[in-house]
Amino acid sequence: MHARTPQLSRRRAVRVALAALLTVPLPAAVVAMLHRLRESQSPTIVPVPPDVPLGLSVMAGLVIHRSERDGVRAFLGQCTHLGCRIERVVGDEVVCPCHGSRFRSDGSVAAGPAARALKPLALEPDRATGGWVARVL
Amino acid sequence: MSSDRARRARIVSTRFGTFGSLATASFVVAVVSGVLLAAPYDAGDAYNSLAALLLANPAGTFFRNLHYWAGQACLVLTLLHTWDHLRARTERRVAVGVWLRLVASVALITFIMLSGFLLRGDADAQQAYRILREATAQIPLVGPDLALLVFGATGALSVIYVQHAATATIVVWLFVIEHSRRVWPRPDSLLAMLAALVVVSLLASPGLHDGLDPIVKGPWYFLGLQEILHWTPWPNAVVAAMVAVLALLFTVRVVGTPRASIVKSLLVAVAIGYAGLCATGAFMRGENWAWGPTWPGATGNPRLGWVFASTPGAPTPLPSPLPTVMGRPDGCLVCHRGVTGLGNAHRPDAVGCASCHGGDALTLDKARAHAGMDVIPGNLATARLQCGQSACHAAIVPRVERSVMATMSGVVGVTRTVFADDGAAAGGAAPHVAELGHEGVDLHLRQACAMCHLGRKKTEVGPNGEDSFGGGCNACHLSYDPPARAALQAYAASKEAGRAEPPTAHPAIGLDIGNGQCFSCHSRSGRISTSYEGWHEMHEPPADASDPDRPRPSRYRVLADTRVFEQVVPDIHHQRGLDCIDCHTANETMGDGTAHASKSAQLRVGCEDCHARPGATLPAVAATQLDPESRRILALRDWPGVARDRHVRARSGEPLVNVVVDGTGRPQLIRKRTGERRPLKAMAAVCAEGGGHERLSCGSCHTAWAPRCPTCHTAFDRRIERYDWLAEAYVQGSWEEEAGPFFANPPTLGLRRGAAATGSKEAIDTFVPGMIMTLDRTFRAGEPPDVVFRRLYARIEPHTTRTEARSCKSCHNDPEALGYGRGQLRLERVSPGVARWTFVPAAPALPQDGLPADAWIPFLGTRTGRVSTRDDVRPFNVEEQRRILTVGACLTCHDERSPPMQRAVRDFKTVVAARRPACLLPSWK
Repeated sequence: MHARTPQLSRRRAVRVALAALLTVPLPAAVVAMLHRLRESQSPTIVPVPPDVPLGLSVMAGLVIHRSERDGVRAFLGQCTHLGCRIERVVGDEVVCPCHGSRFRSDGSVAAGPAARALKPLALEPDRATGGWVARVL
Repeated sequence: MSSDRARRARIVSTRFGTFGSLATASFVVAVVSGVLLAAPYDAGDAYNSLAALLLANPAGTFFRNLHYWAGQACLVLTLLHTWDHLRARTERRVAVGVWLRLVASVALITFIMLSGFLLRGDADAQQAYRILREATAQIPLVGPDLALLVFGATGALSVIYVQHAATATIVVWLFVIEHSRRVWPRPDSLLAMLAALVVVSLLASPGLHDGLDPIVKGPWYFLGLQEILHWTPWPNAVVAAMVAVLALLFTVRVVGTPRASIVKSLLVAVAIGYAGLCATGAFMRGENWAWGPTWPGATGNPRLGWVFASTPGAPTPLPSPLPTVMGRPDGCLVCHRGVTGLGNAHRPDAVGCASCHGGDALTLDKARAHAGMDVIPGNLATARLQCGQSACHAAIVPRVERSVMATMSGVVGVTRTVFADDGAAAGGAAPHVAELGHEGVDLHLRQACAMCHLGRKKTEVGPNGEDSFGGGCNACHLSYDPPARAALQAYAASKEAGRAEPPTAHPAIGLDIGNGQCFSCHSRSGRISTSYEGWHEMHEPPADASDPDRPRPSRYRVLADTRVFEQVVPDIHHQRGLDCIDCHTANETMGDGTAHASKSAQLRVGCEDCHARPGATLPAVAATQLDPESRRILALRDWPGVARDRHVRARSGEPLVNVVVDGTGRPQLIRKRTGERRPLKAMAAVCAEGGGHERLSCGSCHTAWAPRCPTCHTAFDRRIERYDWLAEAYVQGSWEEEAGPFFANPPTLGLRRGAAATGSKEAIDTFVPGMIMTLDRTFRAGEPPDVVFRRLYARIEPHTTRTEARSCKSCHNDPEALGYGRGQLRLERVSPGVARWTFVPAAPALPQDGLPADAWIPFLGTRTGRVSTRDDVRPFNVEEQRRILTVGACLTCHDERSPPMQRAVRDFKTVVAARRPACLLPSWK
């Protein structure tokens, strides 16, 4: 009695090849495409006018704090909880309209659900306007 | 087997099919209407394309409605279908693989719904887009790539549009076909659903959230998640929980019946709990997700109304392109086109109508457009949502809310001090008129004072008059020019005739703030506005105000509230044409963000900020060094030539927009309303002579007169009703005031700590009899009588400044100036070279303390306890009185312009030492 050698049928071979294609090269290609896409993203330049008011204010996706002592500081006006845009100042804090997180003028969390401070942004002087620009990715 | 079948419940089946077939029918309607909607919809300009649809394309709106309602029906019916099969235990009829895909289709249908919500592109959708993209990106390992795949890299809606309309829709349809084994839904199900959805779509149109309403909410089925996310800082946990629920749903098919029943019970409990959370989010969450009853009425929610309703007020054909506000189609301006008068900053194409007035700017149906509209915006209760929007005056409105005009802190604090037991401390924390109680002194404030605070709501359109109070931002910034007045009259007439033609001229909202805006409130209490114009209140009973036969002075005036005033001496600044706002700055009037305890604490500007000391120059800075708000005001005022000027910095440190030093070094005041320039004179040399007068404030010498009301009686009368200005209703019992005679005499002098003229030292300042009164504090019936007596003077800046100073005698020889009250002050010779001052009061002594009715202090005496409405002031002490009267003794013989008295101004001691034998010096023994 001869032992039967397992034979790879043509149909099975095609299936295996397709499965191999779906499990490794295609997902790899998708990841590569997305990776390249992410790399190609360029920062948005947001102008901060010279007459930004004293205290907390929000403008163009930024949270700005200006004081006599510390000058002008900028934070990304995006709640660190889930990315909602912060558009309102309430008293000495900015507040996220979606879930109610509050942040102090130094960006720190005053009330959750957000757990992380607002992302600080570097401001570069803008000689054309006398104000500043912030780069937001 | 048969017994198991017998226990199974039957699948719900209506005449038009099961929940499943109805859900499939809804799905098909949604797909077909979505295909039609693709023509007018622009994913690259989502909000504007839908806004144009709502405004000017009723048929397009109908198909959008059909798409929306078919989607909602599909979701609800799919959930009902799932519940129906779980209830009937029929899940085992489908293969495990099919069940897995059906579970996935529940998630996919939810995704289609959510992505459809994002495609609105309105304020809610933009925030939801950010949340979903961020939540996806936060999924471990695959999150960032998945977010890119589903939402794209740029934030544009084109990628999600493809996933919504193609990817997810095709996959779900394939799953449905596999499950139902039909390509098309049953015709009766399709017709029934189509009929129902057409009816609903003709009557209810989902709106667009324009962002003016600060409440941000997701779609109704997402509100439970929004509530959960409010409580958790770990969004991934929520995503995991959602996956777990889907896994449980899948488990139902693969575990045995007993366990499946437990899982089903668990799923039902989750569903019920989630529905409760959705209801909580809808009805109990407001702005910033704060807790509190909230009716879901934002502009993004569906509005009832016939889609093809006629729009009689709109022009035919509609203007093309549609009018826009900040680049967005705006329906208000279709009917209210050509409205003038608002000025450049608030011109209709810049801010539109709805940003201030509310309503719905995305419909031409008048009733729907005007629903929820605020005809008179700017009241403090709503100003944060109107004037104080983040893109407008967000930093100013909170300041105004804390300002003394809004809090009335000074009025409340002083009145409470007067009512409190003698010796109780005044000042301290700044009280707020809105927090007044309903009894005793607080009721007195409610009835007698609370009409004036800025938070009082303006309820009638029209210009502010002598009897207008409150109105928030409108109290100062609303002004009617003749065209606006005429337009208002024409509108009223057309409304009376039943036509109600909209006015074409709007009152101005801006910086043209005349004295009339200040008059209604500031003609009361200290009567600053009336005194400034030279009007002195006569003490006439209101009933006599309209009596033409009553003897009156040659120039008199009757105010709208029937108070009668006679013309005396106006303030020199008024005579020169200056308005209140020419001296008073934005920080003084609107507050600086601090809740001050009194009006004087909020003031920043004094006489010396415009009138330099002899030989000195006013400190000035370039316009580039002004604070941002001042620069903005300067740009709005646009005065000619001001770019070459330097701006004077007040002693408080605040730069003054309209007080400038021109290129030649001349100080000038620019009238804010007209731009007219006025030269500013320096102080006279005598003002800086020193020699005893260095402590005098400018007002001590240059105030012509002050309104004086020496005596009054206040008591509570429980028998009569009086209006409560805060409750806006009549209440039983009335605090009644009986005033004594009124006088227009030069003010009394006293001392104030920390006055601007002297920095932290005491300065001589101006006072009037503020509260010399008997006060019956008995409030409740049956209480023992509680009558107290108060003799309190109040510091005042009367606003009756004159160029000429009051005479030396009017201070040194005047008993009223020294605080003794009216009467005869005489120097009587006692012996050679020695005399004695005597005083005979004109007013009778009051039994409570034996002093004349109008006195602050006894003649050559002093008082203990509370002497003023404030803690930082005092009358002259005995030593100071003696020094003043010693000079007064000289003035009894020597004219104040005589050489000895002129020398005495600089060095009185030397002059006295060199006096002649005939000179009299007063003895104090």
